[in-house]
Amino acid sequence: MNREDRFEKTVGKDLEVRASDRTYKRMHRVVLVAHGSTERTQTLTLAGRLVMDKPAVKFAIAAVVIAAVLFGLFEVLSPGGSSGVVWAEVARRVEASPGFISRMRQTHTIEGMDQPLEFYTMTYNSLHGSRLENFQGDELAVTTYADYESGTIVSLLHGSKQYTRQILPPNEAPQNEMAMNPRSIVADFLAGDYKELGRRTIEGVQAEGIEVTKIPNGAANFQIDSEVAQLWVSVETGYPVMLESTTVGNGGKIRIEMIIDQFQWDVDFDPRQFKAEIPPDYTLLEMPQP
Amino acid sequence: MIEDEVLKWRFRRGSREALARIYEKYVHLLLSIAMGLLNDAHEAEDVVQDVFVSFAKGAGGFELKGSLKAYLATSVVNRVRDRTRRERIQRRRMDEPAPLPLDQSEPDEPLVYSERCRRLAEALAELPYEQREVVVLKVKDGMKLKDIARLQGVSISTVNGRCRYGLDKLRALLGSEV
Repeated sequence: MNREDRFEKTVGKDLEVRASDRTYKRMHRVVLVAHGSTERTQTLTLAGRLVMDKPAVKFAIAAVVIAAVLFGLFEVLSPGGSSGVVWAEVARRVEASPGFISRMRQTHTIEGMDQPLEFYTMTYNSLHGSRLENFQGDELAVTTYADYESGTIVSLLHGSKQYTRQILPPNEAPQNEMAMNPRSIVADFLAGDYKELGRRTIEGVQAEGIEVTKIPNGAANFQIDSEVAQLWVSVETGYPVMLESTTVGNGGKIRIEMIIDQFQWDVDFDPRQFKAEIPPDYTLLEMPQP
Repeated sequence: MIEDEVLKWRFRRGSREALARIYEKYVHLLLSIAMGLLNDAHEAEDVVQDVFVSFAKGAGGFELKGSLKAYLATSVVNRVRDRTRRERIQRRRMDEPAPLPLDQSEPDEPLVYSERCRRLAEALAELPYEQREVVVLKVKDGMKLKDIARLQGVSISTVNGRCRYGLDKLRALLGSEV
């Protein structure tokens, strides 16, 4: 470092001003008042609301859980975290991908129910919106469209030929949208540690994994007691190939096992694929607006 | 920075938490920049508060493709320029001398800074404003010369010259202090 550079560095370091505690708090208050919004309460995601409000769609995605897992992982993978260069690259690559497809298989074991709910969801996600197709067996049960621009979420309940439509208030939209968009990172979600799992071959692909065991219950519609999530990334491409998680909640009354795989990254979708097309014989199922 | 991208996105969607985090993350940097430009703790506080209030009010229509940090730093610069321009006009009308910087020993000091910082801010105040702006943005915000050139509406070589002259003068003013 030459003399000029040293001088600049010293000037930058010396020009260090901080607000006094009182000023900091006062300005903070003024800024938030200017923002004009009320304290955001813990909101439920679309999945949470569907599960709670309509038993017929209990199998609707637990996107909250996906969000919790993915956001948690991506948070530790972010460049600001404690991860190494390779993992930081994974986060950047996922963030930059314009669209992706994935399959999610879930098993929900809930106290009081005769047998576990088993279903899988195909997720088609782009910068414009998401489409989630929920299958029971081989039958398409629910299709959910999330249009990010308008904040509208439409679910088609194919069994009963009904549909729901929700327009999310701006203040509530992020959490719902986040739940639908695993590329996004919830900055305050997790700053926990992860464990490196080494390598393993998944469907012929050499992958490297990490495991997270502490994920706060910031976005779920039930109390998460424990959660273990593993992310496996292709050594060759640097993209995720599989994500597994087990979540236990409500004092052991809820157990959700989930595997997300069959990822296709860098998919360039036509935005029209995320606009809901409601069949003419479907009727509106009134649901309380958020 | 990925965190800033998420903060921008969440803020645009109305997130109060995102705004709070942006404030927490950048308030001290902005105060340092404002102090470097104004050499007045109260003025610096006012400017930064104005910037954040204006930022907070504009959440709904907020669209930003570039760096959040650079955006906020530029907002401070623009506020300082507006304020300086207004004061100049006011003084001309009233034919009054420029107010002296407030004494740091004033009891209700809103900002906390070292003696070295105070001397540095005083030395910066001796520079022509354009040079001061370049120096502060470069050394404190890490802004690139081409971005400062765009902000000042001049060529990169002009900004480079302002930077060099500014730093030379600053070194001379501070003497053996740095």
